[in-house]
Amino acid sequence: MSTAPDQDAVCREALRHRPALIAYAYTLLRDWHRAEDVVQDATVLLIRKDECFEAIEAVPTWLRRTVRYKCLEVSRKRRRERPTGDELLDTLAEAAVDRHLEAGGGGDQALRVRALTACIEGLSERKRRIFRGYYVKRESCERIAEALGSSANAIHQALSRLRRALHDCATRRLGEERVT
Amino acid sequence: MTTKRDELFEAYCADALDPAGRERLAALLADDAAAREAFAVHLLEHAALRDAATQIEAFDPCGSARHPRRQAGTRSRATGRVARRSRRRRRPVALALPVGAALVLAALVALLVVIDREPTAAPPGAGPVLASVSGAVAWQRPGHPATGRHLRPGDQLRTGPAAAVTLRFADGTELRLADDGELRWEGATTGKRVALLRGELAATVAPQPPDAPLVVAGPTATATVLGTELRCRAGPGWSELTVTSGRVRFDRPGVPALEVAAGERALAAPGVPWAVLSLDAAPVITLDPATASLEAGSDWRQVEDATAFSGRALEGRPEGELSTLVARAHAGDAPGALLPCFAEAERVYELRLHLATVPTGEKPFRQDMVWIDAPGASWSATTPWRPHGQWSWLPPDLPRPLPLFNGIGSRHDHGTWSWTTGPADAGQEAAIPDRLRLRFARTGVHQLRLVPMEGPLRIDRIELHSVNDDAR
Repeated sequence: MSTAPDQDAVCREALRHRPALIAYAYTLLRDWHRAEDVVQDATVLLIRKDECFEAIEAVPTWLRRTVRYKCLEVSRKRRRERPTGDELLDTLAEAAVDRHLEAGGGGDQALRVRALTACIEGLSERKRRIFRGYYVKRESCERIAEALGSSANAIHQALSRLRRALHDCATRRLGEERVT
Repeated sequence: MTTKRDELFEAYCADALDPAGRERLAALLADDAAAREAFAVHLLEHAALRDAATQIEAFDPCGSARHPRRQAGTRSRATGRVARRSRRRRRPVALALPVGAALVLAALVALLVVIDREPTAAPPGAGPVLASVSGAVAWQRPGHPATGRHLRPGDQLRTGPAAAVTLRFADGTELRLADDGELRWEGATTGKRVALLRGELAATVAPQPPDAPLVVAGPTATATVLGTELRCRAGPGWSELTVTSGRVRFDRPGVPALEVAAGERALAAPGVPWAVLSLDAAPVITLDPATASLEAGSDWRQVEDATAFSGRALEGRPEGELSTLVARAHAGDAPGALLPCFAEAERVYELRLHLATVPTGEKPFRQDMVWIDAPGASWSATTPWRPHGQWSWLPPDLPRPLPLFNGIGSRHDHGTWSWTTGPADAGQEAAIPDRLRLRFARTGVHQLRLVPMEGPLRIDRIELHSVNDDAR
């Protein structure tokens, strides 16, 4: 008979799925900061939740449902901010990510983030500068190009290559960890 | 084609799609299942990259990364329009405030929208404030946990090497998390509650209401504080409380709580007696064979034994040549029994095995032996190992001293290496004439691995005695 997971296990499970949940929330809000807030709020609710989960597998489903509910709440409040005519894209985007997660495509995102972090640390100085500019400082390609004496198009292409390289590196690292 | 598609996905991630782009993406997602899957993967990867970026930002030794929300006015890549939401202030955690107060708060928030960081004044009912942050400190939220920010329930703080963070409550209570630590603020519904996941936490606690104490929850025990100074240390599988002034209740599931007073400490860890200890006391760590996990193929089995420490003992019946078994154990290829054991890095321990031969009536003279492996520990030069003549068959490159324990031996008429006397099959308990000492590199729960070499033998318990006084 399986035992109910304790609070630490539930918290760990929530952290494992955090990036996937943020991605899901983004499809509903189209705003990464708000998506992070919603996932944070849902995690707090999870921690305060009185009832126990029968199995750890129930946690991501509960979180996704709560995130969806909270996103809809936020969307309702800021309806005026959003351009109209986006409903179809919102629905399709949400469904695509939802189906992907439902099929177990999220995996252990915490492990992936750790692998990506290690890969980023191995980047050359210039690539790190581009990555930091775009993902950490949230600069535009134009701004990064200006700082590096390059063109926006070159930065755009470099970012695309960088994403692919980091994807491959993280996948390889995770594969190696599984083998060892 | 794929590049174009990826560009479309990335523009979606940057919220930079124009109406035509939105239409193209909607059509793609509606018609193409592979594109839907690729879209989901791209979005998840983008979120993971953002998270990784946040972690790198938090541990950036140069501290040059700015908080994303302070980057107001940056331009979107595809459209060039100003990202107007980047100055948005984060909403405080949902609080049970009266509606009127909430409206007043909302008005205040509206006034603060132009401020590019959270206000340092505590929102009503807010968690502790980050009073000081030094070195690499990270949390699960985006951005750096800067001094002056308030914690929200669920916030998790992590300190890197040589880093520290101090939390201060409105009543003056201070908690200081030392380097390589991790804690989670769990809220103040009924008192203040902090989970110490690992590391060391020092606390100076102002008098707390009796029905709303400060609770520090470690992995294996909980300290309930009504006003005192204390220090908690924790790691996977262990928690320690040291009280400097006042009294603290230390709770552990399934056993009576301890009252720890000033100048005392208590440890909730495998093998450590659940008792109040004086600050300089070094408890005897007792490893219980009943808690051992046996690796597949091990020559051990757990047996009922009324005379054993916990009513169960480990019985080993190794088969095969001793030389082969030693070589396998040395190569880490011999299955054994794993025993959890707590040890402190600052101490030297003497290992004492309480074991006995299992009578067989077959051998007139014998010695029973156990291979002991303690990853992360260094052994002293005073192991009972004595490489006399008959041991010359051992590979010459084996390290000295060997973690090979002459468990119990029988009288040997011609040699000097045996150290117990009496008939081999008498089933007597061993007395240890030589000292087997070890020191662990870190404080925490370790795994002792035992492989039987010669037997059959029984282990009742294993003890680690701190010998710092005469070792230093």
